[in-house]
Amino acid sequence: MISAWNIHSLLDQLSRHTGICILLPDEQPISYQRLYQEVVENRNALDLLNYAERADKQVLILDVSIGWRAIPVILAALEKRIIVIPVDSLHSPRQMAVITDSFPGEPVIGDGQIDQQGRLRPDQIQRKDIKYFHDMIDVAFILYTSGTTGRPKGVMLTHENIWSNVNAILHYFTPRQDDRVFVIRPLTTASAITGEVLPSLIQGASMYVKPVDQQPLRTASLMGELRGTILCTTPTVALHLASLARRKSNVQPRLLILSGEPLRQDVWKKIREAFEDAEIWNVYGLTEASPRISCCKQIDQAADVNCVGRPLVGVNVKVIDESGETVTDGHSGELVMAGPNVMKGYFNEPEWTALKLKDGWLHTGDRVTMRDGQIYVHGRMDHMIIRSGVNIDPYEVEASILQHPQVTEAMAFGVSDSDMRVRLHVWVVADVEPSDLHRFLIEQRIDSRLWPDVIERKERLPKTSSGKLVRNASNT
Amino acid sequence: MSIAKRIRELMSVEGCGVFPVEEVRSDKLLFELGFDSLRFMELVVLIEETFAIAFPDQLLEVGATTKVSDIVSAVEGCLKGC
Repeated sequence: MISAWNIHSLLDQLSRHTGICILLPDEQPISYQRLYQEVVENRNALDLLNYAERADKQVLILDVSIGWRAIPVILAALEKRIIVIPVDSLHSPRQMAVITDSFPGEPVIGDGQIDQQGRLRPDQIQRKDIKYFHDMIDVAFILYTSGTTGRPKGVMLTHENIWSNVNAILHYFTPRQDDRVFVIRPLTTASAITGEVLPSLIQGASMYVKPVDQQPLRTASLMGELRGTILCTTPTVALHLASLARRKSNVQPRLLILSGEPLRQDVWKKIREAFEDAEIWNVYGLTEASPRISCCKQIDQAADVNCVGRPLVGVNVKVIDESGETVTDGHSGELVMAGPNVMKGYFNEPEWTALKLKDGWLHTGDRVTMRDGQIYVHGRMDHMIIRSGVNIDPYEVEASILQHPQVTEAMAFGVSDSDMRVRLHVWVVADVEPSDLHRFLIEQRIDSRLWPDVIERKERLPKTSSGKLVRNASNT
Repeated sequence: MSIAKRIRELMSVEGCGVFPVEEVRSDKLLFELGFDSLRFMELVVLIEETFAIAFPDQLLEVGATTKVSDIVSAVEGCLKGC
């Protein structure tokens, strides 16, 4: 029986772990003892900065472009019950600007405010007009995901959400102390925080945390040098790494955990061939579920690549049709789920929260079937595009491209191509060449996750008689 | 066809890029041509397949200042060394 972990028992465990916590290429690694000391120091620093422990919650905006140094800050904030809002100034500057605008007066804690040891520098942090968020009792994180009209949605995850999910994850994922876990997803994601970092810390494994400016292929090369044993990533990135792994015999993790997008059979075969000695799991979840919902540990037959396993402990699922009725085994519908890992709601978005959370059930928007208690994911019910494991709301892409004065209409959609990838296509009605629009998005510093792969000019976009865009017509 | 021209093709809309080949000039930064980390991964795989080479490890770490000419030089150097 696994004990119920929380931040206090984790820190207690941290103080007793021996060995290496953070692996650093060309530098001395960070031991568990040292990481624990940094957490203690950061706890004191947060007191100095008037982040008092109180039910009225405060937020700490943390720029995760500082890499592993974010971890001792996150742990100290979790213990002080300060809401952490991770942002990525390098890849998502636009999103970061929207987030900081929502919390006026709150500084972004980043490279200038945290030293090379991962310690906060209180003298470098100015907080003005401290604001308390009385309606966010128990919220641990606000994690931002792609949202409509160019505005990202902040998913509020409570302490209970996070720890219940960590405890459920530890039922199937128990890295060993001699494991070297490669964390290559940014620490803005629930997958990295709940699914990788916290379980690894509890288990006393070593971690390599990819700096946000490091190319994924370089990370793969480092996997060989640092003898990485566990890698959690998307099928698309694993597919790219497959070609590298084939010529670098030392890039051979013992465990590859895939998630973030539906796994295709042809992709799985390539990954399987390249990482022939690795166990490969297909796990499923979404930020709003903290994130993990299920895990499939045996993808033995290529035909079963859509299988994401049984729901985790404490997670209830059902498949419903358009009228909300539960469908029988083998019939497709939307997956809805309930459990202690379901988010509190979207920050300042009660309408969106009401659409997604109904009677305690989280509507995932994923089209699935259930067979013999196992979930099979087939795609989306809505128009959300999943490119390389990143969810992209087409409205957000359209809003970005419509900022160009010569674009009058735009429609974004995903196309699954013969190269085993999903491409982001945009049709525009515009008096400007596609290459000018690509250049516009780059020069305007629009977040790169929104950059289209293909832009095509059209005379008109397909519409219904009432003038509404016909999205399904193009999404094939 | 010269190596440089072939690489510019691979980096254009004819390969895995988004701009016409005439816009893929040697002094352009990869970022200016829309190469984020994922597109760069595609490019590396494409170059390795096209030229039957192993892309040099030190160039897997492209930065904000990496130009088209850097990629061309690396591939040329790699082919000479093979």
